[in-house]
Amino acid sequence: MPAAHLVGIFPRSERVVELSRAVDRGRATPDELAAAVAADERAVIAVQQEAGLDYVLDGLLRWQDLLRPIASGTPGMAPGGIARWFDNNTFYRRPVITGPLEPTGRAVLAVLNLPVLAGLRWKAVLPSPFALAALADNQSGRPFAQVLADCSAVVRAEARALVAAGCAYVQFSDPVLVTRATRDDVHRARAALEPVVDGLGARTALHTFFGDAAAVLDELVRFPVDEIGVDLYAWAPDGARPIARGKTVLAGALDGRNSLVEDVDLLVDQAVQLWRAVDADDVALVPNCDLEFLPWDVAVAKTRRLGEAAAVLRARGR
Amino acid sequence: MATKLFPTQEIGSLAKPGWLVRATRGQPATDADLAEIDRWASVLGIEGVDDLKALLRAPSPDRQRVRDWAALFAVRFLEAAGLDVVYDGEARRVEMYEYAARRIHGFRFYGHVRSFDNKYYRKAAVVDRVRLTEPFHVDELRFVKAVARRPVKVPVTGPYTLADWSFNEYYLQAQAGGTRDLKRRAWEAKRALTLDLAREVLNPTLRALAAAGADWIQVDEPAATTHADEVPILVEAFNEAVRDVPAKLSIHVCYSDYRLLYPHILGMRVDHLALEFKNTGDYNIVTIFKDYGDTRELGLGVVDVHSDVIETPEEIRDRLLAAARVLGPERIWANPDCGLRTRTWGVAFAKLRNLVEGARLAREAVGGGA
Repeated sequence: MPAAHLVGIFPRSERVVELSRAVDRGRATPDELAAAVAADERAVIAVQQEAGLDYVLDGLLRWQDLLRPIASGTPGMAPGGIARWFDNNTFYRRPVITGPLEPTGRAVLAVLNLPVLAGLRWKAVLPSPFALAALADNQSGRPFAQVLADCSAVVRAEARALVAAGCAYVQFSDPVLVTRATRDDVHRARAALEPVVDGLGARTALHTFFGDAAAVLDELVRFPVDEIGVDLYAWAPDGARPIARGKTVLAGALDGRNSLVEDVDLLVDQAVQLWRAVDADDVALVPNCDLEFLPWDVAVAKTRRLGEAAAVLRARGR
Repeated sequence: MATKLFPTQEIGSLAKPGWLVRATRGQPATDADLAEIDRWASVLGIEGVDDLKALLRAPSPDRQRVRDWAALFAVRFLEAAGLDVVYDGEARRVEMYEYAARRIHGFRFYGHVRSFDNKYYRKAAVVDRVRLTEPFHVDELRFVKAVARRPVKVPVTGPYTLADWSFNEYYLQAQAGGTRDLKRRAWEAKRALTLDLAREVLNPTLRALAAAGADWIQVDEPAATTHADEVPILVEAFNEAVRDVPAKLSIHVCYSDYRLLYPHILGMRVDHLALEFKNTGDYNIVTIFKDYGDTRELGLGVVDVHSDVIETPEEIRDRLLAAARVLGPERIWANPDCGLRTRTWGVAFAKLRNLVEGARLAREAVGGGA
């Protein structure tokens, strides 16, 4: 049965934008900001529920970027300087690794609004171990393989803690695999993910975005996860081989980087096209990437449209 | 100036003085603002600032006159630093994207998106076919030309960057019904938007600037290499934007992988490339100009605009000489990596003074006179 859900950080409302700036300038208190963020988290969940999405996120509104909670909450690494976030006019703080990493299982829980997720079927988003290692600045003097193994242990601890807290679905986000990775990198990424998902006790996905998955898709479907996500604004599945049997494909057909709200027909058509082309067991409609590149109101409208399209897709089937 | 080796230029923006910001918001100047006016007026030799202070004390200051004063301060600031080519520090522009987008029909601002952390910018959507409502920067240029004592270069945000930093709705919808390949659709829509911006907005603006006396126009394209497969669009749009514009033309690109510009940029009708180098420290990249036989002027970024560390004249000299060894000294200009808007005037002034001195030392070293 086709599903639908979000895949990452939701934008901040104009109120939170205003307050977060005011806090930085000493004109509002952190408590005022925290209250506004909590209100937005409730609103984001309500939008997803009303849209009929199959899993909900708290919006990751406390995340400054995909890597930040782990970079801030893991001994051995810390957020560093600003670097461009792939081909966006947006930046992230590159984690600086200075020594062996110490898994805590507390970094992501520290920025999660668990109370608002209680009783809901919710998903968590984590960087893949490979993305975390590849996007960090390794100043530890240790070889990359060792850093990657550390990142695997860190992400494993975070994933287990999230599942223990009630998470039903863990998505590992990895834009590196489809933008700058070699085939050897892909093999390393898979090996690093294996211990993370082994015995995890939740549904799992590897979501790729910002890049063309064509060259590595045959490897991605061998990753030890239930679902594989692709960015349909970076790759057209025309001519793709039927290699995804046994998997669900996440069809990234809702564009998180353009404000134009897609037609339902386009979303459904893209999902079906992908589903058939790769011969997956099932499909889920998702945004191609985080919606944080959009203003709040647009992201809300797109989330609603995602739900409408998913309903049509469920009725239509493959 | 044509025969002077290692001439110096600024790239565009300076920090806006506190008194300008407050006047723009309709707030009164503070005592610190007034002291700052006196201090810089003394350094820059600007007279008559009692009129400015009186203006700022008014309940609702005449913003146009305040902006004229801010532009005058910036021109004198750059002249006093010793630069060979000056402008007004973009004193009248809120910033390089929003200022232009608000003067083009077809753009609509929805809200803020995050740049990083708790920093945000207002991003517009293109919801209709773009067209120029009126050429912009013309009055600004006339003012600078009237007061400047040095040659002037006017910076203008380029069509590709305006397109890349916007949501493209109208042109994407126009592609509907075409290919099912979303990536191809987005590329075609991006090209259509960028070319319309070049032909319908930038070209009439640049021609108006040339008619108003612009001798040198710098087209700012910081987004140039954001998407490697769109560099051909950048070049095509630039050439459309500058068609029949009788002025020296340069392009400014920063924080980018310049390798991606080649070979496409060889087809760009531009006289000068002003690029950031100091931030990355990768000056070896200048060899790419030699490798591709690109003989145009190169503005070498030798001052980091994101650091308060003041580069020494000797360091700047050495950077210029190293580039000159690869490309010859005749076409090397010295400049900061980008606009200095994130530095205080004190830091920016010290950096620019050393830039000028470093260029003088470089001239001395190659026997080109001091």
